[in-house]
Amino acid sequence: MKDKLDKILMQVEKPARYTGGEYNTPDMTKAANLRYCLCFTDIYEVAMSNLGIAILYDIMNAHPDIICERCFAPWTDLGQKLKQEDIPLFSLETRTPIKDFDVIGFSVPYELSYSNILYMLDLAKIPFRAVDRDENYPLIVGGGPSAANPEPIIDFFDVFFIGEGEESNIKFCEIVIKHKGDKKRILEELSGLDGVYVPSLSTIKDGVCVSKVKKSVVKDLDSASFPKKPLVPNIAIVHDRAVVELYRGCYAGCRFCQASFYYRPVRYREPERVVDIAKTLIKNTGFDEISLSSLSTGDYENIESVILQLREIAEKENVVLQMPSLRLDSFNRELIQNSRLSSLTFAPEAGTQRLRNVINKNITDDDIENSMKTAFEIGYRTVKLYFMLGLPTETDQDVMGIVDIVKRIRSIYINTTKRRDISINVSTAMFVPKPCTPFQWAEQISIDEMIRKQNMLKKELFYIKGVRYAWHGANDAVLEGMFARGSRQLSYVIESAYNKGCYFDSWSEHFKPEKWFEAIKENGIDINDFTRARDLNEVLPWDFIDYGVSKDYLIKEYKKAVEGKVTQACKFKCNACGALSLGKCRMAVEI
Amino acid sequence: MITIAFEKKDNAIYVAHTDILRTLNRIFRRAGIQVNYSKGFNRHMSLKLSQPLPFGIASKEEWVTADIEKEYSEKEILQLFNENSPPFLTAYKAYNVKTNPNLGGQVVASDYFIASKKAIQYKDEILSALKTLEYTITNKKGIETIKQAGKLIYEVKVDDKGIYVLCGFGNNNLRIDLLSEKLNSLFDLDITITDIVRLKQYVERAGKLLWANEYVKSLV
Repeated sequence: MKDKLDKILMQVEKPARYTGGEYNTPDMTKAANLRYCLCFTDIYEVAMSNLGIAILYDIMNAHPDIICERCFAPWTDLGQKLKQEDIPLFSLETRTPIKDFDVIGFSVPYELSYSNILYMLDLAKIPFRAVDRDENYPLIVGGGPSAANPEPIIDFFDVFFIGEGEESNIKFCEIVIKHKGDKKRILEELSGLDGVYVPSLSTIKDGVCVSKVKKSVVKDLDSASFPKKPLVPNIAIVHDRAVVELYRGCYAGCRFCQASFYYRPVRYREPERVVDIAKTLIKNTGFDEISLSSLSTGDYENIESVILQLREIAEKENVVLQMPSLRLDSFNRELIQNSRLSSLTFAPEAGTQRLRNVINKNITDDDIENSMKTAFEIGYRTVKLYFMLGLPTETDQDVMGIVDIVKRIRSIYINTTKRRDISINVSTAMFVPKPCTPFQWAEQISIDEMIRKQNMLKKELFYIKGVRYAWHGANDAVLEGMFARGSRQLSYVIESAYNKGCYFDSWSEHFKPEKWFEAIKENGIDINDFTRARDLNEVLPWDFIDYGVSKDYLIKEYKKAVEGKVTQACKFKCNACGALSLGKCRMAVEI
Repeated sequence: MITIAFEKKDNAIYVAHTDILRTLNRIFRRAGIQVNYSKGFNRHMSLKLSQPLPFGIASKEEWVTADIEKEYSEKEILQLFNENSPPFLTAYKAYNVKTNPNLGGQVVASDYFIASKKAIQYKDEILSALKTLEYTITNKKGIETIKQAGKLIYEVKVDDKGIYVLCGFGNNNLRIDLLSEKLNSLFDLDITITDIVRLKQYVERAGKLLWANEYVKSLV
């Protein structure tokens, strides 16, 4: 296989994606009882930028009994060559066919990568559905952000991890080692664990799983393991830098944001440890950039002191400290001063105060104006603005509010600097209602309506000097919406679409919406059944998951949204969302 | 200033020249070797490489010059480099030099080995063909140029392992990968680009080729 591979690697784009050999690669020759292949449903450059992959890889390889290798979705050129040459999909570290591992673990980052699960299984010569795989195949497990509702893909997996995988993955591996070769016994023992969903042992009623699964969380983030010697890629990747995670969860409670609710409770890493990790990462990786990661970095309690300390270290080590994108209400002159004046990114999300109240984006017009004024005084002249279209209760007036904001920012720039050379990049994404959010019951607007709203903006923004407008596709948004709130029956749609040639759907050059719509039709699915507004009493496919945040709290928030009432960020007062049932929450401890 | 010779092997053949430069950057930073930085807006470590290799070719002799103040012993710098480099880059020689040898601009020729067991069957034909060999290159705009390879081929040897070629490049750019393709088309040798290894690099001094190692040594 090695010779054949060497030949075809020279015929594909960026072969270093497939050869491993990165600095800091752990010992792959140790005597271990379990060989785990960690897979990601996108290409190397995206996968290697994923902090979750880095954490799991580190934790598993630190275990004396586990060897963990990686396999990422090969780009279409290599995929075709592997099929032509009949070479099974292989791991990066030792070029072992992934079907020879004991466990294959997929991290599934977003709905539009579902078809890539089948793409990788196909290349690995592994049957798609768990029921078609006997003891000779490895256990296929899944997890990642899409675990908030794994139902559309659950038929492809033997086990699915709900929540954070650090602790549950290790417990899982230890059980697999204990009963190696006895799949039935392994699954039985796993089904009792927090954060582990074993579909074959779950009870299904009217097509919906009713066996409760509790989301797993890392209870103490500060003492949790963090990769101090991450792999250093040999080619440029999307986020080519060292990353330190500040905290998990989010105080803000924006009602559209799945991550905000899914990753609760809020857990902190203490500033001393953040700085210590940063120093270690610079030394162990040699990256010339370092950045901070969390859902809303500006809300980190000690952000100023951490940034000041890191800035000092970065200067000494000739490393660039990448400033995080900040919420408008956490924008601070001290933080951005002395940074390189490239561009500033803000996400007001909605064009009017009314709609921002609906989505609980607690920023005001004054916040926007003051932040912009500060930024322009410091010397910024490029601003990126992110908005969403199709939000619940949105009217045309709200859409036009985006134009008003852009015009206002432009006048603030002209008044502050007496110049006109501002560059404003406006980007709109389509709202997709997601499980585990107050908007999980909301309607997703139709493709026609999405296009109409985008066209309104295009027309209006076109005439404003210095403004560029980019928008996300309507077809992808509807498919994402369908899968986000989808049920088990959608696995047949994914399989049909893959068989029609759909994969790498999150890459616009490979996205084939017409094939997807064909597959949907052929399987007798009505897309409106998934994008419609849901009744509050309706049983939802993901109701069996205990996210910590209670359904009652989400209902309360949804009702407040419809009334246009805001909920204050829980940074100031615990809102009793229920996440405390899973572990300590930063603020709840202090009240 | 220090000039280091290193080997580029195994998976390094799949790593492009710019990525090798980035990797070297990281090696120096991890090793704690204080290299001077450029003074511009996008500051970068002051590292100078010898001539880039076409993608897919391994090398026994690559050179990097780092602008550093401190003097290291050869043993010390090689240890620091190799402890902090990925397995496919290995340093084996280092000189503290007074001036930048500018090998990127100075190198005018290289020795290559092209592995091919079939080559010996065509030994005489290869030797004669290489003297007058022409090959065509097409640029991005589709314009074709005929290269007179023969003038730039200084030495050729063929044995049962393959072909050894000492050839020139630089402004007259003779590309060893294209030369190999041409040989393939003439003699059905089945050479792939991964069969080629650069062995040595040369600069020109007083009308003669001087091995880069000797040249760098003269700058100590």
